[in-house]
Amino acid sequence: MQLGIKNIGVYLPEGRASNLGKLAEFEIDETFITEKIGVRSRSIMAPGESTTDLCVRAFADLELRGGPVRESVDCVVVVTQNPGANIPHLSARVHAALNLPERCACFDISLGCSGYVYGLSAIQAFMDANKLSNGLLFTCDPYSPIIDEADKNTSMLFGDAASVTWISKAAELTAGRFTFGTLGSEHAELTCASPAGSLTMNGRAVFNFAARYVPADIKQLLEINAVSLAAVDRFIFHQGSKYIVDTLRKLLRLDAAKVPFDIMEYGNTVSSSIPIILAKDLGESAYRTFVLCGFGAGLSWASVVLTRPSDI
Amino acid sequence: MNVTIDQLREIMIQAEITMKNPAELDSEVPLRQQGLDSLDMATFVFFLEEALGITIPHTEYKRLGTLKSLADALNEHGEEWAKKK
Repeated sequence: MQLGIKNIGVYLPEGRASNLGKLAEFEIDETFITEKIGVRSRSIMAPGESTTDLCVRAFADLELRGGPVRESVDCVVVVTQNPGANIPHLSARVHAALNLPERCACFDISLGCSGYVYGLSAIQAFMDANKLSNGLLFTCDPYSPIIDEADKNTSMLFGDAASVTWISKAAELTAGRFTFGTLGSEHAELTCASPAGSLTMNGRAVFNFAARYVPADIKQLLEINAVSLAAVDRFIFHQGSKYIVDTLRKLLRLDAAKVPFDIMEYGNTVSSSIPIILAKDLGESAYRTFVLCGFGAGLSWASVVLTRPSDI
Repeated sequence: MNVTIDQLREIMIQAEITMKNPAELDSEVPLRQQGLDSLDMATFVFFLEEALGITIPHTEYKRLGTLKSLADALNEHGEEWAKKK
């Protein structure tokens, strides 16, 4: 039986910062915020709340949805580029906070918005190679500490969140072949030079990258998985902004009902944006085939087709 | 390169920039003054580059203010920009 996604837990901090207070400062109107950026308010972690806390709260949500018995967890992977502290790895701190077994592999993956899809491939391959049974793939990349509130390019986009995906057999969704790519020559277009620095982003360059590479990648992905565009029920794109999700939908000529946009009240949560939506869709049995695509810092992208095991 | 203002309007339609009907845009008034915001401009430039097979250098964006100045820039430098792709 193939490993796959068994369930997903999510944590969005209750704190919110409104973008409506920035209208005059950035000389924009409310329509620009709601129709272009697509983020009215951003989730913000509470003072004193740590990355470990975010992960633990995501796991608490997973437990409410019927998560794994803690004693059975044998693998923890955290996708983050803002771990809170560099040493030790965040997955070890989460391991301690959840009181997980000693016989449990833990490692972090340093990726941004493509990280969830990369992480799915990495944890499943690692678990399969080492005969592990119950893995937890966390995403936790709070950007609020690295945002310059005066920067129009970045300060209205990002929200803090965490997710945890339970990887096991008897899964709800299993993965087909993945596609990956990197445009390292363009890495300076989205960067945070030092731990104490602020994020900088060339929005036009990142937009051009996504519009140019993602549609072509989706077409290649579907071809190698022998799945037609029409057979896909949900295209869950990384929620960079409404503007980029709308553009990808137009370029691929997709039905708007198949392309969720969800971040109006919490923002772009980096590697958590895809699992937050997937957690909502997981219980919708009418959705049989999914395409996930993450893209961002690197510049990097990754895509995968997920299907219900009974459909194989 | 021989690009007309009507071709640019057609590309704008393909890009689904709907703030204003492209046929009604004054070719000599800056697009930003006619309702296109920064994101509309980014979309327009992307579709333009894809349609014409060019890459417009960032340093030339200031010349893209009006449809007329854009057509002039493309006709003057289009082939040079095509080579850079």
